[in-house]
Amino acid sequence: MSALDLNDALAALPARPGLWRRLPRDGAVWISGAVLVAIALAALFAPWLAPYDPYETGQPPFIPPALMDGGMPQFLLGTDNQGRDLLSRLLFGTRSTLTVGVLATLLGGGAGVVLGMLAAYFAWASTAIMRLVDVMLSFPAILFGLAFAAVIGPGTTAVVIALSIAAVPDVARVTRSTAVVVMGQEYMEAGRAIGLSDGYLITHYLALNCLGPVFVFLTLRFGQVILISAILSFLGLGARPPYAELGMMAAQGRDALFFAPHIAMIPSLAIFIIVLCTNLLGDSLRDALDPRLRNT
Amino acid sequence: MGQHIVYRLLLGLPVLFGVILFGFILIKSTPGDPAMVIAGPTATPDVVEKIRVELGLDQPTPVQFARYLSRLAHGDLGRSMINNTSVASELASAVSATVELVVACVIFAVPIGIALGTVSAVHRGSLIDRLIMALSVAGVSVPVFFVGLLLMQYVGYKWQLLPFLGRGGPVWTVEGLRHLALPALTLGTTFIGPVARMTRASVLEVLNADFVRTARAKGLREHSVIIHHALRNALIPVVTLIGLQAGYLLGGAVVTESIYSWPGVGRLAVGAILAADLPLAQGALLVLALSFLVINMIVDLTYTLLDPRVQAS
Repeated sequence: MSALDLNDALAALPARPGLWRRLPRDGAVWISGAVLVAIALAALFAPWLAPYDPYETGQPPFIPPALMDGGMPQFLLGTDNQGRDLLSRLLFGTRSTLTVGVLATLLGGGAGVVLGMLAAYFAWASTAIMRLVDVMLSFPAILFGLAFAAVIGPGTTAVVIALSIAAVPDVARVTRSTAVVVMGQEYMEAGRAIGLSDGYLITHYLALNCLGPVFVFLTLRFGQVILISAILSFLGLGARPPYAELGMMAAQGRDALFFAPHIAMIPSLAIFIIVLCTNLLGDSLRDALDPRLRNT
Repeated sequence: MGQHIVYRLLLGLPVLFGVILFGFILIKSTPGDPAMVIAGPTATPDVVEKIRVELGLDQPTPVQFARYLSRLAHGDLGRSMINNTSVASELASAVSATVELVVACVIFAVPIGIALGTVSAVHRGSLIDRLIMALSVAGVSVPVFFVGLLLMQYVGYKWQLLPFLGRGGPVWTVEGLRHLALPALTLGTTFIGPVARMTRASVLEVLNADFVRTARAKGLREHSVIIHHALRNALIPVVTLIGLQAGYLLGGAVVTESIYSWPGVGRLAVGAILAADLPLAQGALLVLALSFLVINMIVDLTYTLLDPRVQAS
C-alpha cells in the first residue's frame, strides 16, 4: 500500500472528534486544570518552596498576612497560634491532604473497578457483588470515618481506610454499568471465539475499554474524598498535631478565629479551591467524554 | 407490592445485624479490663470479680453477644466510661437536637434549591442559568466548616446579629430560634447546591414531555405551565433524591454541631471517639447507622409507591 493509498484510507474513516478537540470550547477545563497542576506542583516541591520549617515555632505568633495591617514581609501569609510560618504549613498541609486523597481514591477506586468489572463479566458474581455495594452505599463516608476512628483510634490511617471503603460502591456501580455496555460489543465475542482466557479478556479488552468513563468518575470522586478527609481531620479524627494537614490547620485556627481569622480561613480556602477545581474539571471532562454519565 | 415491601425489609436484616455486630465489637475492643475501670483503682479483687460476673465478662463471646442483643432490645446501651451516665439517656436528648437542626436546614434550603433549579432550567443556557449552576458547584465544593467559620466570624462575632454557641432552649421560643439560625444556615448553604442541580435536571426532562407541549398548545400562560404542569411532575424524583441525600446532610450535621457546640448526636459521637469513650461512641454510631437504614428504607418504599415502574425492574 503506497502512502497515498493509506492517506485515502484514513480520510475515508468516519471522523471521530477526539477528546482534545472537544475540550477547548470550555474555558473552565483549562483554568481549573491549570490551577490544580500548579497546586499539585507546589505540594510536590513543598520542601524546596517552603521559606521556613513548617514545625519551627520560634517566630512571633498571630502575625497577619503581609498585605494586612501589622503584617511582616518575611511571613507572606502570616504565622499561626504557635508562631509557625503559615505559608510553609500551607504547602506541607496541601501535600498531606492531597496524599490522603490520592491514596484513598486509588485504593478505593481500584477495588471498586475490580468489583464492578467482575460483576459485569461473571453473571454468577453479579448479584452478590451488587448486593454488597448496595449495603455499603447505605452509609455515608463520614460514618465510615467515625467508625474507623473509633475502632483503630483517630489518625491518618483511619481516614485513608474509611475513605477508601466509602469510595468502593460508587466506583463499582459506575464501572459495572460501563462494563455491561462493553460486554455487549462484538469484539468481546470475537475475543472469546478465538479462545482468549477470561483473565486476558478482562485485562486487555474489558478494562481498557472501561477506562475513560471510570477515570472521569474518579476525578469527580477525588474532590469528594478531599472534602471528607478535610472534614474528618477538622473534627480531630485525622492527622495528629503538630503534623500539617489542611483540615486540622483550620481546626487549630478556630481557637484564634476572632482575633487572627487568617489562621483558619487560609487553609479552609485552600481546600475549597482544590475541591472546586476538581469538581469543575470532572464535570467538563464528563460532559466532553461521556454525556451519558451526566445524571450520575 | 406487598411482596416487594417484605423483600426490602428482609434485605435490611443482614445489614442491621452487621451494624449491631459492629457495636458489639466496639464495646469488646475497649482497652483494659472494663470491670477494673468501673470498680476504680481502690477496689478489692473480689469487688472487681463481682462486677465482672455482673457484666457477663466471665462468659464466652457468643453468650456475651446474646446478652448484648437482649440489652439493646431493652433500650440499654450501657454506661459512659467518662461520666458513668446512661448512654441511652444522653442520646435521647442529643437526637432531638440533631433532628431540630436537620429539619430547620431542610425547611430553609429545599424551597430555595427548588426555586433556583427551576429558574435555571427554564432559562437554560442563559447567564442566570450559568450563574446558578456555578453557585451550586461552589456549594458542593465548599467545606461545611468554612461556611460555619465565616458566618460565625461575621454574622455572629463582628456584627453581633445572632448567637453562635449551643442551643438556646426549645425551638418555639425566640431564643431557641435565634440559636438555631446560624447552624441551620450553615448546613443549608451546602445543601442548596445539590437540590438546585437535581431540580434543574428533573425540570429539564419534564419540559420536553408531551403534556407540557399540550398545556402550552391549549394556551396556558407560561408560568402556569411551569408551576402547575412541569414542576409538579418534576418534583417526584427530586423529593426522592432529597431523601437519598440524607447521608450527605447528616455528615454535614456532624461538623455543624461541632462548630457551634450544638448538643446533637454528631457532636456526641465525635466527642466520645476523641475521648475513647467507647460505650458512648457505640451508642451514637448505632443511632446514626440505624437512622440511615430507616431513612433509606422509607425513601425506597416511597419511591416504589410513587413510581410503579420501579417494581418491575
